[in-house]
Amino acid sequence: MDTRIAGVPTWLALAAASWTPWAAVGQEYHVDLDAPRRVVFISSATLDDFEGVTESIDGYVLLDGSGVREATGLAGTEMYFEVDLASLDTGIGLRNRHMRDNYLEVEEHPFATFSATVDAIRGAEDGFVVSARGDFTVHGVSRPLSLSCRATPVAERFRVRCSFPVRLEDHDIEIPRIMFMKLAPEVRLELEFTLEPVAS
Amino acid sequence: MSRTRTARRPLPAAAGTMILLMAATTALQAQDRPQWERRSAATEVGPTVFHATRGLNLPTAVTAGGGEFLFEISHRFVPAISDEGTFLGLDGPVRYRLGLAYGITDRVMLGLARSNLDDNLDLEARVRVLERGGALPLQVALAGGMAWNKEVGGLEGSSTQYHASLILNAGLGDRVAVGVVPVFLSNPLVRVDGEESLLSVGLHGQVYLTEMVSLVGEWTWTDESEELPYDPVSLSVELETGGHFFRVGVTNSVRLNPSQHPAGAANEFKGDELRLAFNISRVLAF
Repeated sequence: MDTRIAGVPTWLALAAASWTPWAAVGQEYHVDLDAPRRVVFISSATLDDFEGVTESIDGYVLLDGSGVREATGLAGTEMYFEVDLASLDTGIGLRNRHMRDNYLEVEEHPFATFSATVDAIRGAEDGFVVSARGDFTVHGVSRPLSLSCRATPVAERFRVRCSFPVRLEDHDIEIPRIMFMKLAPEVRLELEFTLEPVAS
Repeated sequence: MSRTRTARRPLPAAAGTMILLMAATTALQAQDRPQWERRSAATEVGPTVFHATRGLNLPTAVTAGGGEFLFEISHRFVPAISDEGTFLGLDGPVRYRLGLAYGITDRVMLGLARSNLDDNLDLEARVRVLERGGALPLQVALAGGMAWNKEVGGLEGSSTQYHASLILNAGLGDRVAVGVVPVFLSNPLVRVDGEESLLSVGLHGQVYLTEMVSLVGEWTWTDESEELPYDPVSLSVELETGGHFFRVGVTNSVRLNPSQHPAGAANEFKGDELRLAFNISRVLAF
């Protein structure tokens, strides 16, 4: 039987009615530049422990239309973060120059970036644990990286905390071995920032 | 049962509209890319010319970072390296300088230094007024200060001195830095009446051999005087360890402070007149 609604075949009308394109548009979150941000690398070397700190992190997370909820096997998600390396402050201005020029070579490689997809979002006591897999790039050298970050809801926003180790030689960052071991072979990166939803 | 192929009928107008709408929204979905765009450019940092705030004696346009203290201790051994029984001059006596500078901002530094030669206490301000990157990085600073000499036997005139410098630094490639430092100094010889002022010009260069090791050469052209008839000259090696510097070298001058060095040297820069010298500077960040 060829039933029609307003002159349109029923199957076509139902298909059109169930087509919810706006719900399928991704929910995008940006780093909230007005909220506190902090990126720290911690180097624990034999004779010289020090940290480098910056607040210059920016980026986004793009999820599907359902936003942040417990899920696995997510498809079509993206995330990208970048840290302005020239802004890193070790607490000693003359050492900053040393680090920028000799180790990170920021003139050629100004940003450290993490470009990834979201693998899973799991519930946690204070919100969610977001697992992502992608490429971490620093000093112009990319390496695969899987990491988990905690995302704590704050109204419509999420306070995000991540921590992971980075082996400097994996990114062709030279480690001085003369006189003093000033930079540890492996540094720990700790990131804290807020993601805010962006209107579609 | 056989089927009869019939001619395809045109879609109703409403169905066509819906399909167009679906196609349009599908296209929108395909364009569902992040709206995010980089919101600030990478931080611009000033050019690197010299790495330290001074060579063995001559100042550079580098200043301590804002909020940082810079501690310095320097020695010039009075006996020549070749003097017998002085262990290369290390047995002394020695002229030394103790200094502490503070970075008021990343471009402005205030320093206080004492030399045991004439018990000279020097207060100096240094301001980096210009810097430019590119193929020929440049940094320009102005420095000025005054000094008090507290132990000058038989002094009849003033024990106060004033000095002002223009510090011009340029980088030649990644590994070579050169500097010119014209200096005005009042009352250059506090022990001598009648020496009202002088103009000297310091020239220095540094070759960065590795990220830690460099060679430093300095020569200061100055007015000859009876007491200090030679131009101060020095050659040294600098070791840099993450913002801290150690220099060791040879020189013909034991006059350390900014109000002393430009006045000249008592000895000639030649083999049996050379003295050992070293500087250590360390950043103290609290």
